[in-house]
Amino acid sequence: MARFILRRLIWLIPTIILVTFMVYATIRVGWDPLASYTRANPRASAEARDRFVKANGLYPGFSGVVRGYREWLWAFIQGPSNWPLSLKGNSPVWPVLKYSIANTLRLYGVAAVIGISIGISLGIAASRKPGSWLDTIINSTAFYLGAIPAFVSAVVLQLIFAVQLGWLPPSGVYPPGQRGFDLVEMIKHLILPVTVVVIQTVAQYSRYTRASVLDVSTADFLRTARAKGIPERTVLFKHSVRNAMIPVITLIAIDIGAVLGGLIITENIFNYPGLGVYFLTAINDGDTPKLLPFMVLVVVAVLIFNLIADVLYAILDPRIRLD
Amino acid sequence: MTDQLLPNVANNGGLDDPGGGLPTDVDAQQGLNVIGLSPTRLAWKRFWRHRGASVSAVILAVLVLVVIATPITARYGVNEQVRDIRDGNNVYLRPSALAWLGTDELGRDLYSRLLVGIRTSIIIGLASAILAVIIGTTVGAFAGLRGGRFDDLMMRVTDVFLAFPFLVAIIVVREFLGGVGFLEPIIGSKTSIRFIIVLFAIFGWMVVARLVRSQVLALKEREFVEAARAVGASNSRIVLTHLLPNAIGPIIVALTLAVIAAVVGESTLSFFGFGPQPGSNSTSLGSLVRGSGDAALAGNWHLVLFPCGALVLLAVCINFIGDGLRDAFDPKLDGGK
Repeated sequence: MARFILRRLIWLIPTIILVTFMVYATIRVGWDPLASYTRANPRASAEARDRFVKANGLYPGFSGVVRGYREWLWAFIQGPSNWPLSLKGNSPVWPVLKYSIANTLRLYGVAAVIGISIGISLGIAASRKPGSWLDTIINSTAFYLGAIPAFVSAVVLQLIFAVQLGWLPPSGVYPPGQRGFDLVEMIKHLILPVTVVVIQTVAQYSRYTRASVLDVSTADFLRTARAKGIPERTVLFKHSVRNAMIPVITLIAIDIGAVLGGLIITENIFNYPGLGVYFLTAINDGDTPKLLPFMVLVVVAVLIFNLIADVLYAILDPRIRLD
Repeated sequence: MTDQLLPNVANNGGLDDPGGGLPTDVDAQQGLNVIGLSPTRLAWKRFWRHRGASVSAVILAVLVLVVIATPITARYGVNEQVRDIRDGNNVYLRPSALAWLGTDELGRDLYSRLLVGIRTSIIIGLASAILAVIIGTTVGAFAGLRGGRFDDLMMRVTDVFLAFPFLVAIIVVREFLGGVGFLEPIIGSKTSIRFIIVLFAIFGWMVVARLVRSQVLALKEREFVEAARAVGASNSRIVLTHLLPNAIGPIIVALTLAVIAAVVGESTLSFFGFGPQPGSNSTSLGSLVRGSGDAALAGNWHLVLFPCGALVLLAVCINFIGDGLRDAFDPKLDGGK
């Protein structure tokens, strides 16, 4: 086990370097950072533009991309104070990124705790008696909810609860002009975006859990446990659910890794200043110095949580041998 | 006797032969009263027993017919205003006899536009799904049959890609492909329909590849493949005539899921302004839902309800059909329905 983790960790570094290089090259080809810079700062002098080219390593040709990547990576590793400044406003990138990460984690943290626990409970409840009315209600509700695109439910919820009824604020983290921390306002602003994410999560996890429990339900060890006279409750939670949770937990790990890409749809509709808004703003401004650290964050998170999912899978299911 | 029976059994699989499964008079005279049902025919029967799927299939079929027949079914042109401007205000009309689903900010009939939009979206969905299935099946079959390095590498790459946040990846790759000049004659500009089809196919083939690979891995050790190999069948023949027909169920399910993923994907991208612009004489569901956020705030509920409703209806129907097909092809997975 330790050897497996070590080997994967060692492989992780070249993988990260390779993938970030691909992302860097992609972004260099997809956006012309110098053109974006001139657009953002139309009256920049020739020296200022030269400085920008040097600071961002915008050398021509393929070898220039490699060199630019090397210089960029070196600056990136040395810490946020060495990162190139953003195109818009020439400001440091890290404070905005940090603020966005915190906001997204808060939104997703709340939504994931609520959504995953409801989803798993409903999935277990539905799987108790397949075909019963409870199963039918839970399963078909999850089915319909899962078929609704996130932006539709977000717009509809916003329309009903924020615009028509006026019960909840339509967007943001705080009311405009608010300074400092206010828990009540924060919760009020979180309710709608959290609901949108919870709907998606519940739909996904209840169906997944149900399928997983049903998958285990024909296992021999359950029949053995029942034959031994173990109470049904114990069979359910100690034998059936415990085994059924293995794929669910790895799914959770992968989901957490992906969420750092931002809840783009929800955050942008509710104008919630998380990573999703950060990403789309950077894209629309062509702001590559802002975009690159975000992409690195996403790549690293995805790779690490994929590894965690694999390791968890092996820890939870001793039948799997990794070495 | 057996030789005579074989073509008959094969014929039973034909979907256009409603009586194929029943014993015919000839069979009865020969004393054969075994009801032979091919797997395809069994699946067909099981599919129609799935209530949600069969209702969805009918709804979708009607919708597709109406949408194909837009020259007859649409009441106005895509850009046609429902009434002469001088005749009074024709923008943001509520649903009425004049315009069944109301009009938009330029006084155009939402019903007619919706039909054209659904048509464009279905074309995008089908084209990108078929492209994705072709690429995915080829790669997956190759990886599954060959195994080895290529297989390992491909599985690692798809692992990471599937875990990657979909919208982030697609928006970045969209900019990238749009920035590569020499690709433009082939895949069109960033806002063309062709471009969006290629884009969704690029992201869609991996799911299919994994699926086909796992099917091929499971099937290639079976006796009938061994038998085919023993009589000297080539690899491509084994894949095309032995492996793929046996894996057709999951592939079709993946196809339906890819269609709806592309339709919803097009709408989501359009909603944030990254979608295709289907040209002056057309529109897409994405273009129609794009303004729904602002329309909602202004109280024009019909501009939100009908395009979003059409999208949800499509999503529910195609999902149901996928569900029904899955149960039909693999009764083991039937969750006690």
